[in-house]
Amino acid sequence: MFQPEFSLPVALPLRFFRTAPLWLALAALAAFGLEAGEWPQRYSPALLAITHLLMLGFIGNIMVGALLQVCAVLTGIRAQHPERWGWMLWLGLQTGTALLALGLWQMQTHYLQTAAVLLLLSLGALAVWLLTMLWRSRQASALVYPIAGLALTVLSGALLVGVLSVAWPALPLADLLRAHITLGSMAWIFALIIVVGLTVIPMFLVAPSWPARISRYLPAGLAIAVLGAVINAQLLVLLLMPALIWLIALYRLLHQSQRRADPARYLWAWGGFNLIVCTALVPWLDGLSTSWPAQEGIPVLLALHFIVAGLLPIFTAMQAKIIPFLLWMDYRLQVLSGGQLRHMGQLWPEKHLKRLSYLVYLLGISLLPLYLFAFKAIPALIMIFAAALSYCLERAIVHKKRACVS
Amino acid sequence: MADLQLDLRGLAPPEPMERILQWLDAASAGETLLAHLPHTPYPLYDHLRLRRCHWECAEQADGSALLCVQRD
Repeated sequence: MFQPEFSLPVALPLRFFRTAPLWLALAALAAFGLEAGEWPQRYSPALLAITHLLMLGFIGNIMVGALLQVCAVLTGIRAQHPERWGWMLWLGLQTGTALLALGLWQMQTHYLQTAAVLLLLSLGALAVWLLTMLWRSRQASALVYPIAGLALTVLSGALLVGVLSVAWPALPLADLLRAHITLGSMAWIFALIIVVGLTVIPMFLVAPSWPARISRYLPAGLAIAVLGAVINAQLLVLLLMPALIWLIALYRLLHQSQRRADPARYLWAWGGFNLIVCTALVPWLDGLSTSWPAQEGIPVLLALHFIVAGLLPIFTAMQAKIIPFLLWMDYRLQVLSGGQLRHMGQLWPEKHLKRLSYLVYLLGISLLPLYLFAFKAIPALIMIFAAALSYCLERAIVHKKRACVS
Repeated sequence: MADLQLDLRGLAPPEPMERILQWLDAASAGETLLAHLPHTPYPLYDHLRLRRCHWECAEQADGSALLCVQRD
């Protein structure tokens, strides 16, 4: 019988998790330097650069770390030299992100092309390798969908760089751009949130397993809806169906969770709700833009809402569970019995997660008034959040190291 | 028939694994534990490999798992 092994070195996913808050702080710092008039211009070089600092630097690092861990646990996929390949992947992602942001900010084609090559060689190669390994292991895994989503996101991004820098291939820019955004946000990020949630919510929040039909058909349903939306913008509304089904199932599961007071439970609920709000509003984006006084700012506001109110709560909940669990697992491999660490709360105390969650709620709830009247407060709050997240993470690592040597 | 049966389905990680490892460290050769876990405990396998034991795990229809561990 095929038995997956949990043998990924803990340093590998941790490296990505530890880097993510640094990119978030950098993106916030860059956003803080913008003038009021620059904020609503979604396709300005500065905003494109900041978007990629967030989506690739912050979100990309968290998602890749989670993907590697989930693949190792659920499918037993392992590289022969995980540390070496892990370092190369990490380096490719960070360098690619930095060059892409710099290339977009300064509109330098050489930077953009180098970044596209680096990201194809790191993220693209990772996706192809994972898909090959999954196919070889002959396992029917929902992981196929977000990994395919990652591959298509990287490919569409590379094609965008080609169209922008050398006008090749001859594809319509607007359609390619829409495809890239839809693939990145829904086929890659949202699909991986669904798949990671299948494991981490029942496990860490002590809830029943997801209904078998949801686990089996929802990722495929989302993939079909995304492909429809990529082919025809009119079909963006299709995305609402899988998103709503997921939200209803998520709420039912959270309701049955035995950890009623766990802050992660409310973070999942809040993040899930806001992801659906964004998914529901996207198809009407053009209509909203014309009936709103700050017309051109709507898409930026919606993207901010997607990241700050949708993704940030879920990532906080995920990291606050996954990271201490990985550290505890590694600790138990070094200290076989007894020892100082008896539970995960010693590594990432619940009171710290509560404080982080208050900050996340504050950001999400105050986003619209801050955007309209005090936009610089948004990056300031994000910087505080990045520092707090980094503190929790580093504190957990230090605690675990001390426990190992004592 | 197992020497000890534990229902660990209501516990959050890493409590179920801690309980199993604690039992294993204290068990005598030949003793058997039957643990009912909320999910297949893949992360536990590396820890079991480090100890003198063998095990079998059967996934149940409701997503839970029955793990039978015998101390060698």
